[in-house]
Parts: sequence; structure tokens; C-alpha cells
Amino acid sequence: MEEKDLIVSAKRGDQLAFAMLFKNNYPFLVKYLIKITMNPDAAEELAQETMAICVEKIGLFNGKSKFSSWLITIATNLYIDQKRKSKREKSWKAQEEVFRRMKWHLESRNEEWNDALSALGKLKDEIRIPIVLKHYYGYSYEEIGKMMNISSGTVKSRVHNGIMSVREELKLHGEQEGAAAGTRSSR
Amino acid sequence: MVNRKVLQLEQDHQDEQLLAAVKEIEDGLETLEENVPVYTPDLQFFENLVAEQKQAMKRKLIGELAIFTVAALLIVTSVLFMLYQVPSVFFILQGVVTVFIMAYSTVSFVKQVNGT
Repeated sequence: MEEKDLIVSAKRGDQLAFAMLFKNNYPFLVKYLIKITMNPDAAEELAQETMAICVEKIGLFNGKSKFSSWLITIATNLYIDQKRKSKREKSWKAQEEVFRRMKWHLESRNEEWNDALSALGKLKDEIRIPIVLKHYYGYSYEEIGKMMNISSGTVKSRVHNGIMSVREELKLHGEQEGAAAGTRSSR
Repeated sequence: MVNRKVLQLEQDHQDEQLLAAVKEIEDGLETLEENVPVYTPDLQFFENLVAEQKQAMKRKLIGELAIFTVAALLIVTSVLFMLYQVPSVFFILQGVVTVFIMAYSTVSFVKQVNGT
């Protein structure tokens, strides 16, 4: 069955159609959430909460965008709301712990941890999310604006400022590494 | 002229650095995409999730309907009680409510007109 047919059946209340839609989109949604939370456990939890909201609001889905984009919109707003409500803007220490786990995870698979990820993780959510949506998923500024209920101009400036911060962070990191290498070679 | 050329070179250099930062970000995110495994539960799990959510929605709807019915009954009972026992209070209340609704609508309308 195609996605369109599944959506029609789901709107009629077909549980199996709902389940198939969710199963097909689950990896995409979780991977998106991992990128914005940098935390696989939180990402899975949020994905399941997103799907629960989806069951409630399927009647509002107009089919103009892809189902996966709609899921991303719900997940993004849910994540921002939860952060705002609980005011659990994680301290840098806690965030560092999350990065360490992620870094360990990647290194255990013989993958190098990218400094841009650390720099990205230091950004506020409202800046990190548009960068991920723009530069990884290729959404336009207008689409991101609609997803996050902000103007496209705001999205553009957030993305630009965010990338400038990442660039500065990378430059700083490069200089520190250069200095360390210089000290080693002088010894 | 020389200044303009220097400025242009600086601008180009900055653009290059921005593009390099974007590339680093994309590479980092790609690493996450490819190397963090995601376990997708089976279909039964998602069916249960949908069924549970529908049950929760049903319970919520019943609860809200019950609260609405009780509140409506309370309001109707108290209004009828006032009408038969203390009619003067009933008519005063009617007047107050009418004035309040008119004032509220006017203020909202004015705000809407000023806002556009």
C-alpha cells in the first residue's frame, strides 16, 4: 500500500495503517531527533511521544507536505515545548556527558568524532534545529519557518549566526590544536 | 580601488570559511546518520501504541464530556433557582451579562481593527 492510501486509511481509524505508517517513518524520525538532541535515548522517547500526538491530530494533516515532514514538525515543536516547560536547558556539564557518550559510541565504531558536532551541540536549540533542517535535510527557509512558527527572515538569520558561531568554534579549536602541536615540536 | 579589492578578498575568504564550516557540519551529521544504529520495533509494537493512544483519547473525551455536563447542569440549575426564588437577582444578572458581552465584543473588535 502506498503512503497516501495508508494516510487515508489511518484517517478513517485503521490501526494497522497507522502502525505501518509509523513503522516506515520511525528510523527517519529517530535519526532526525538524534541530530537535534544528540541523545539516542531521548530521541527514541520523543519519537514515541510524537507518534502518540500524531494519532490524535491525524485529522489535521492536509497532505500538502510529506508525512515525514509533518512528523518532523510535530517532533520539533514537542521537543522545544518540553524544554521550555521543564526549563531543563541542560547545563554544559550534562551536555558534555551526552557528547562524551556519543563520541565514545562513534569511536567504538571506528568513526572519528567531528568537532563541528561539538560546536553544533553548544548552540541553543532554536539555532541548532534550523541549521540541521536547512543544511542536512535541505528544507527552504520558508518551510522551516512554517515548521517552527517563525518568519523565514528569522530562520535565515539564525542559520547564518549559528554557522558563524560554529566557524568561530572550529577556528578556535584549530588554533588550540596548532598551539599544542607547536609546544610539542618545540620540546 | 585597492581597498575594494582587499574587501572583496576578505569577503571571499569569509565565504570560503563559512562553506567549510557548513561542510564540516554536514559531514558530522552524516556520521551520526550512518553510525548511530536505530532499532525499529515490530509492527505489533506500533499497533499497540496506536491502540493505547486511542484508548487514552477516549478516556479523555469521556472525562471532558462529564465535566462539561456537570458544569452545564449546575449553571442551568442555579439560573432556574434564581428565576423562581429571587427573580430580581436573575434579571440583574441578565443585564450584567448582556453589558459584559457587548463591552467585551466591542473591545475585541476595536483591538482587531487597530491591529490590522
